[in-house]
Formats: sequence, structure tokens, C-alpha cells
Amino acid sequence: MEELLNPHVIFWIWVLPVTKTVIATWLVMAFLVVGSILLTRKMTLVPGRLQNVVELFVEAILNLIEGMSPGYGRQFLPLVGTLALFIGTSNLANLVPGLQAPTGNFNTTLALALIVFFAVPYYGIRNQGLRNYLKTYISPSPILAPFHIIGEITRTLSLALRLFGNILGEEIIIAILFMLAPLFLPVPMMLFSIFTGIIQAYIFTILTVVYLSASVEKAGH
Amino acid sequence: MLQVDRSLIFQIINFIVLVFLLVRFLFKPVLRALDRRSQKIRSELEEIEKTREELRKLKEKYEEEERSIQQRYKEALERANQEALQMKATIIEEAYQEAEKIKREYETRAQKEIERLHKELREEIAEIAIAIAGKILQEHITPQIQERLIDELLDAALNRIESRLSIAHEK
Repeated sequence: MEELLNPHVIFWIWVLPVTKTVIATWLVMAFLVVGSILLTRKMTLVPGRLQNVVELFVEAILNLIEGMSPGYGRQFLPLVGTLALFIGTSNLANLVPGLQAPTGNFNTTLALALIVFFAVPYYGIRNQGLRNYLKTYISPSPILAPFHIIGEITRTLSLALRLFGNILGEEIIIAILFMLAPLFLPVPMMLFSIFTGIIQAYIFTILTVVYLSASVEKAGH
Repeated sequence: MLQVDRSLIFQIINFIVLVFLLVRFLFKPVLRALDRRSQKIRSELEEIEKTREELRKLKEKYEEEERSIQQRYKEALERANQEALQMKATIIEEAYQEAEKIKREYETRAQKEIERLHKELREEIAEIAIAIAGKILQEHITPQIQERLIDELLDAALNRIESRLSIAHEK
């Protein structure tokens, strides 16, 4: 159990510990990048089946963003699309024997949540200027500024904890089921974890889009 | 318990690297393909629209031409009608004049003929009368009568000469 929460450090690069989670993260990244290269190697005007899948995914992300903040689809696509792909793939990494989902580690989810935390003011300032962005903190009243700030911190924590808790919980349940009845019982739970893994990725993604779209909206709107 | 350690930094770097890699290998190529396709569709739609517009213009031109031809045809027909009517009027007028001329010509000719005939007739009658008178005179005249006639003729001649002279004298 302790191993799931705080994986061993396998080796160090300079001062940074390479844990099992980091290695799993690299595997997920490699999978995504190699898959992308293979799928987008030959982009044709009339898409084949695989190209259709990739285009469908990208367009789905674009539509998700455009639905909430029209006009920002292409701007948010790198962050939002990468989040969706990385979290989704990570959550499903549980199913690979011997691999732990990187998202089952709090360091990973906190890293993702922190990136969203900093991306919100980044896009806000970039799109409406520093003055207008800071105005959103004192609207409708300056009294609310501390609450805005607290809200941003807590929602970041909740993003990280929700994803981490769900995925780790599942891992723990599957681990326990393995201990109790290793042959059949874990299978339905693993199937269920596919479902929750995708759901969690979707929740993280859509919340990110909501925060980003709020940041680019003009104050008072 | 829940530990935040330095692997957090690792994960942040990992994610940022992943963003760049996916932009390079996934999002850009896909967006490019999507753009290219929509560009192609748009340009083809534009092409279609342009062709349709051209067709519409051509049709309009043809219709316009047809209308103008129709118009010209009508005008030509009207003009021809007008000309025909005018020509008819002139021809009739000319014919009347010609007829009048011929009529007058014939009238004058007939008049002349009549006059000539009158003259001839009169001469003939005079000749016949003289002949008859000569015959009658040959049969009935006596020397006394002849003498008297000569006298009377001389008297008349004398009278006329006298009157002529008196008129000349008066003048």
C-alpha cells in the first residue's frame, strides 16, 4: 500500500528522483508520441480510418473549447488536448500488467493541476491584458478578491485530489481484490476502471476548459 | 502518507515536454489536414458559386439579346408596314394623277379632233353648198339676174370700200 502511495526512487537524475511513476509517465509519453507520429505520418485529403479517428479526437476537443469560449479553440488546443490524451492514457495504464497509472500518484496530478493553475492567468493576461485580467479579481466587488484567490487555490487542489483519489482508489481496490480472489474477481473491476478512467480524464479536461474560458471572459460578464 | 516530493517537478517538465511533442507530431499535422480540407472545400464551393454566377450572367445576356432581337424584329415589321402603307398611298396618288393626266390629254385630243372634224365638215358642207349652188345657178340663172347680181355685188363692194375709207378718214 505504501508502495502505491509513494513509489520507490529507482534512480536519480541530478537532484530529481526517477520513481516508478516517472518511468510510467515516460512510457505513456512515448506511447502517445510514437502513436501520433504513426497516425499523422501520411495525412491525406480524403482521410482513412485511422486518420479519421485522430481528426475526430482533435475536432472533439476543439468543439468542447469552442462550445464554452468561442474563438479560442486553437489557442487552448495544445494544453487541453494534451491533458485529455495524457490523463486518459495514464488512467488506462493500470490495465497494463506491472504498470501503475501515473495519475495514481499525487505528484503527477498536482503537476497537472499546477499547470492549469498557471495557465489560467497566462491565457487571461494574454487575451485581455494585465489590467483587465486583474479586474476579474475585484469584480463585482473588491471584497471578493480574497475569495477569488482562495477559489483558485482550492479548485487546483480539488483537481489534483479528485483525479489522484479516483485512480489510486481503483488501484487499491483492484490490488485488494487480487489479494482476495486473484482469478476472476478483479476483471469486472478492471473493466469498470476503463470507464472511470475515461470519465476522470473528461472531468479534468472539461474543468480545465471551464477555468480557461472564465479567464478570457471580460470582467463583469 | 501523501507525499509531495521532487518528482512533482519532473512531472511538470514531462507534461510541458509532452505538450510540445504532441503539438509537433499530433495537433499541427491534424489541424493542417483539417485546414487543407476545409480550404479545398471552400475553394471548390467558391468555384461552383462562380460558375453558377457566370451561367446566370450568360443566361441574362442571352435573354437580353433575345429580347432585343424580338424588339428589332417588331420595329422592322412596323417600319415595313408603315413604308408599305406610305408606298400604297403614293402609288394610288400617282395613279390618280396619271389617270387625270391621261384623261386630260384625251380630252384635249378629243376636243381637237372634234374641232378638226367640225372644220372639215364645214368645209365639206361649204364645198357641197357651193357645188349645189353652182348647179342651181347654172340651171336657173338668167342674164337679167346675172346682171342684177353683178350690180348688187359691185354695190356691196363699193359700199364696203366707202365705209372703210370713211373709217380711215375719221381716224
